[in-house]
Amino acid sequence: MSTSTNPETPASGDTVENAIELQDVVGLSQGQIVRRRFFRHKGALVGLGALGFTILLAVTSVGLGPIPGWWMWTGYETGNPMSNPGGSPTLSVFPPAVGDHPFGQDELGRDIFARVMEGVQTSLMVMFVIGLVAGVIGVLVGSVAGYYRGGRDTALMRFTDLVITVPTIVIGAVIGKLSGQISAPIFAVSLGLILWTTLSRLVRGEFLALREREFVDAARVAGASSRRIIFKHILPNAVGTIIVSTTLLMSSAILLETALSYLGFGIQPPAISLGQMIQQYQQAFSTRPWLFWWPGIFIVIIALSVNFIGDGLRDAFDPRQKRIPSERKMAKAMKVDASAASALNSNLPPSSGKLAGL
Amino acid sequence: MRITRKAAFAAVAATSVLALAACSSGGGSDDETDDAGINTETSINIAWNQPFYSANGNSTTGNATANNVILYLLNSGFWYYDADLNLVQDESFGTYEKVSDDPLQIKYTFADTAKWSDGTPAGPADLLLEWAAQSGKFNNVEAEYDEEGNITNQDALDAGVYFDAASPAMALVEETPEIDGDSITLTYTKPFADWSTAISMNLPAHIVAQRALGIEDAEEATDALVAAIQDENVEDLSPIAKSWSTDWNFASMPSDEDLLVTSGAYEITEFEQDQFITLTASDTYEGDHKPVFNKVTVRYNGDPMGQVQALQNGEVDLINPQATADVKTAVEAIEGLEVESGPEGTYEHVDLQFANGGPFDPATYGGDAEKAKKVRQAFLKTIPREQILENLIKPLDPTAELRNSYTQVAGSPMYDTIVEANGQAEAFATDIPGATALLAEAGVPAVTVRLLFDPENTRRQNEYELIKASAAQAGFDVQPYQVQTDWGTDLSNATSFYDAALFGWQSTSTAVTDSDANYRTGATNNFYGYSNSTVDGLFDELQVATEQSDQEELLAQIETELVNDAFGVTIFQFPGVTAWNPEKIGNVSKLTIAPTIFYGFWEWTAGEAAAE
Amino acid sequence: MLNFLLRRILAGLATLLVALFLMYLLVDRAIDPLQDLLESTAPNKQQLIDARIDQLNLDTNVVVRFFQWFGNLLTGDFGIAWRSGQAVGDLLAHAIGSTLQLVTAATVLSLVVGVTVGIVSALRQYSGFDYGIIFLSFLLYSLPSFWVAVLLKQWAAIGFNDFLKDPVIAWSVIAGISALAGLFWSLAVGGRAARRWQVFGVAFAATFAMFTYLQLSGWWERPQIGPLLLLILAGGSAVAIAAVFAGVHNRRAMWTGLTTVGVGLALYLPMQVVFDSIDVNNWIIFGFAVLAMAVGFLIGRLYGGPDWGISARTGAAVAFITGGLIYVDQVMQVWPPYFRALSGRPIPTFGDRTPNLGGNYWVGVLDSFTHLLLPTATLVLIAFAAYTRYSRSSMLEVMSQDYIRTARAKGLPERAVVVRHGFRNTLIPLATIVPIDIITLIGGAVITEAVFARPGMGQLFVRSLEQAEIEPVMGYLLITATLAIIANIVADIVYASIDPRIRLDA
Repeated sequence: MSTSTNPETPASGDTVENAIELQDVVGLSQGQIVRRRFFRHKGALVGLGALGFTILLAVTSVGLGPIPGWWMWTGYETGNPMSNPGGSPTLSVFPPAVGDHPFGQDELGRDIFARVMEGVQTSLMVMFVIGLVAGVIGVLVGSVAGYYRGGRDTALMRFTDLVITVPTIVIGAVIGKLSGQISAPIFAVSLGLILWTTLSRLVRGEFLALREREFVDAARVAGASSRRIIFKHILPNAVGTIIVSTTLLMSSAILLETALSYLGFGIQPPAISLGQMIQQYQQAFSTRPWLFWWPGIFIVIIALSVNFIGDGLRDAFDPRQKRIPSERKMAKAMKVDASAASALNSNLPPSSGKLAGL
Repeated sequence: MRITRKAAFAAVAATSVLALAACSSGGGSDDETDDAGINTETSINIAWNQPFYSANGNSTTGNATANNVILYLLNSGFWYYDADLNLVQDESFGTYEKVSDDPLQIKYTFADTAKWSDGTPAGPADLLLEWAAQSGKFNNVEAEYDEEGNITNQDALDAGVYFDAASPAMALVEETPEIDGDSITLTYTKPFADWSTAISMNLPAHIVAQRALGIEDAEEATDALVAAIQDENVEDLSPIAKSWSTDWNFASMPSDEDLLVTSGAYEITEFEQDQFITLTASDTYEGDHKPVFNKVTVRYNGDPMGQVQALQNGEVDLINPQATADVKTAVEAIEGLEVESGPEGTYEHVDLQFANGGPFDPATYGGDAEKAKKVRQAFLKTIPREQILENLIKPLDPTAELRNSYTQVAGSPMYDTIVEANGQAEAFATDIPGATALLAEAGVPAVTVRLLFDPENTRRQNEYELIKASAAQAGFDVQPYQVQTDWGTDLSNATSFYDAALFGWQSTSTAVTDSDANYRTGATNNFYGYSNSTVDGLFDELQVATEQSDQEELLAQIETELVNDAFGVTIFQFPGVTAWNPEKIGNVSKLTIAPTIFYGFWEWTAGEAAAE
Repeated sequence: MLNFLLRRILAGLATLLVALFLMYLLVDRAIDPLQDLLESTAPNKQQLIDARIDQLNLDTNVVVRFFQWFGNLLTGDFGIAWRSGQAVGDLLAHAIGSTLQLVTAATVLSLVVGVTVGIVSALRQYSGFDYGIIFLSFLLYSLPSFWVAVLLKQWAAIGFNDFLKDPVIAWSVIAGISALAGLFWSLAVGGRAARRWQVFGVAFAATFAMFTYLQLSGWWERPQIGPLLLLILAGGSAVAIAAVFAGVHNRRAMWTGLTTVGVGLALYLPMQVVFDSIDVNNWIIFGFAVLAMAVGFLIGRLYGGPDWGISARTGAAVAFITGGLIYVDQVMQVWPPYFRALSGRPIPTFGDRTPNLGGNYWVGVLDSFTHLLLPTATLVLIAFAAYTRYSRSSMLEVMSQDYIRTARAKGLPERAVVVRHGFRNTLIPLATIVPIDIITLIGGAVITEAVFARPGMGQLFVRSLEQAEIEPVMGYLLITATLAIIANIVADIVYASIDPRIRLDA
């Protein structure tokens, strides 16, 4: 705040910055712009990498369904001899070694790495299923309500209010109790059926605004059906909002699943989920910490990656968000634009954390 | 219309403040001392896993350890176990003696110091009521069912007498006990071995009568109750039975203080559901078990690790959590605690199926009983008892030993003699060559044994792995049995699906007749078709043997038979962990059976920190 | 307005009814009150089953049962938890206080900290501070709350209590903490390199001095505020409030703040006597708070001037803080006996009160505080992240608006631009999010209460669901659903009151 607010600064700053921005996007389609912006978001890239790596690791190591993986254990065999006393992890950084049981073993000799990988698969599956189900319902409800307005809108929004009234973890617990021993996919679908509300409200808002736009009128005049207008004309324009909030929804879904498993209303053994592992090994927290930490770390990795990806997508889709280039880039650009550079250098301290006027 | 910003802000602020104010507990005593009125009485906090829910520990509903440990502090009785599991009479409450052997007559005499906390003396009426409840004599209605299992006599049930209790011992006392001043005499129709623990003090008869019959005066009410029992007055007994069965079931502080009347050292003074129960030393208690701590608070926390953390953090001073290796390691890592491991009431054992057409059934070998017995002996010899103890139990309790008696818990008065006599230790010491030789002798090649155990219990899974590996050396192929419903149900219902069973029996007393149900032909807990007429005969004798020396002799003979028949093998007593903070409490000892850590609360010592 | 309220309340009631109906059907499907009997081996099993069916009306259609339950509800009868025979009304009355304490404390704390950090982060967009905060908030947002809770129990409760046994912090640790504080402040304040070093130095020195004082004065053994710390803390906040909200150059506001602190200081000793001589309760404390704010307001009014409103508000805010400090000081005075009573381990790991503690009002308050500490911290860590994100993006949006540009263009100092134009508008979207977020927090409390064994509504819900008692579950749902609906209405009203463009009866 205390950096100088020289009246000339904003103007010249804008020029330079816009120049870079415009130079970046000139002649590109929206998809290309989004992709470019997304790939410039370091956090999102790291998140994408981490998530991709986690998925790859989880799927290839213990295999998917009937397909076997490359890892030597499956997480279900008991009675393996303890590689280390007490089953502590064989993974070590110095000297670097993986060993037979990198994440350790439980008291039955089961391999924790394999179990965590199975848990990651379950949790990811739950996350994607919830994202899909909640995404589809949310988009349908939101677009119908926003496009048609009137009675349909009121009815759907009242229905949404109804679902919002009860905290999701509470409905989740009831559903978990209801489903009891049923399989993880059905559990995930049920959760998806209650998590769509935020998305539907956002989509509705988007539709309310978009339906008044000229291109919608044009389509209508050209004789397009309502369905065609919704899906071909409006929806692509709302895709940013949808993708971003679905991502965030997925990150909260994975936490919801672990929380429910922790309360004992989630996925039941012998199926493995990360929350259930933490609950099961809570007692071992201070004595055999690897049983408690590894599943926790993977929950955090997954949720964190998804959050960063969501943030990157938000930046990428939001046309109002002008990405400010780093100072180094600015300086480079200013060197190119010599006139601007001379005007700016006097005002901008090299280490200023913030550009005045932005 | 616009609401002004300030008005809305003020409204929201005021509402939230009011809500907060209304919610937090208002008020408080204003006695201003240096301690701001904080309690400084000697008190002790004990963690327990399951909340108290019934003050009638003798009813079917209320008979649970969670209740009995608390009732141990609340009520006095004629007898209790000492640290060596000997029965001891509490003479400050009363005495009992055998006055005749045939018929067996037991006379209970109440001491002058036996009093309920409302001042009413405890007396024969209390025991009479207990007999009425336990004997089942007055239960004049049994539910009757039609073919579809529907009750056909609901109205009769409502009008009738139904005490929620059943004791086979009291059923032997058919005549109404005779009251004579401060004493009451029970006459058994036939001798009964465990007569000394057959009946215990429970509810205050005068309060049951006051509540059931609506009589205010305690003495009158008691008299009416005694009359009702003596005259078998169904009209009065019906509400008495209802009151006895249901009124004392409460899970938080009851509104009627009459329900809190106790005969022992403590009274319930605070009870927050699922949180804690506070017992305060009773002013009126005149007996010998003088409490050391003025207040004992039992705090409920079902999470064993949560209990360890709470002990470490000084929130509780004594814990007895469900023992796992993690709990043990964690609690030992904490400085300044006393940690003791020792056996608990449950023992692990393997039993064999005699009548399911499996490898241990004579029928499989065309009725060749000798052959089947050799196979059984061979299998039992392969069970790695020492190894199981060493690998799975010693880490939890270094002093753990093998259990070698089918009927008595280690440390009980008769254990040593019986173990010496029965020969189990030698017969079933792990002996692979011996087992191989026996199998060869029997001429039976490869034998597959389906072992029943709880697949979700990790310790049992581990035991299974060890047994499998050991038995394989002698030519047995041990496999887990195919779960039908769940292992507990399958134990009795799916006997054709397993050949051997690995699980635990829990001892709740040292009563000698308890084992009857396990080994007699066709008895409730004999799921294996085991039948030995000698054993049955010995049990008949045991039932009526009222002297301890005779009981010991008979049990030794029974167990010798069991070993000879290769009925099964006992392995270990469950290990437990007790830990306490010596700055608060000392001289804690634990019984293998209830009341476990609460045993001898009058011998506890207050630590330095507790006495400030 | 009335019309609007009426309509919303009616719609809310209808929603409530339908939601309760659907949940009743769902819960009824989910639970099986007969399960324990079906598995029992009792000889009179069938009789017991029939008795229970009769007791719970299980042979009646579930729809009919719902309306019976709902009818009873209208007469004020919440039903009973049949296993223990307790009235649901009593159970809820007991549980609701515990939960609301927790949720309120968590909301207020996370809101204040979260919004502040979020706004500062937005003002320093794409700086190291900003990236740090973004990462931190994402990290906290991704942590399973029960996982955090278990760690907090071990480290914050047991670790801190162990520390209190011998409360000496190594000098190297103090230096490390001070360096971190210096780094935090220098990043948060920003500016040129020289200025950053300057801020770093000041923050480092201040933190170091504070810890040195705490250590040397034996503060950890007997924590208190006392007149000296009161002067420093209240004076500091008076200057800060006046500087941020009125500007350093607004002499009247500055003096109002300082005078209010002076009055508070003068009343410090008399208040000790007052608190000792009356039987304090929450209502009296609330009265004192209002009184204090009124006095502060009056002081500002008396300083007068053309812009007296801002001085008066500054006075009220400073009076509130000073009064709050005096209150906290009073609570801390019972620390020594409390500390002794708990054998020197004041931070508990479970429950919501110390059994048989006894003691006066202040002891009760202190005991609630210590029990609230860890559960609140767990909830705050997570809610804080959400508020930081909301307020950061909201502030970014606002600061790119034309009116901000206009404000700058007309020569307003940056402080005024941020506080008057930026900050206020940032709060608009937040005001609509917060009430709804509280519902999420109440849901989150289910987990927190389970981990810390706090007997609140969440515990009640989980236990009743496990034990197949439908009426307590419905009682819980009734409370949360009602709160949710009220929260929605409040959100609308707040929205309309801070954004003049919205008309409620439009």
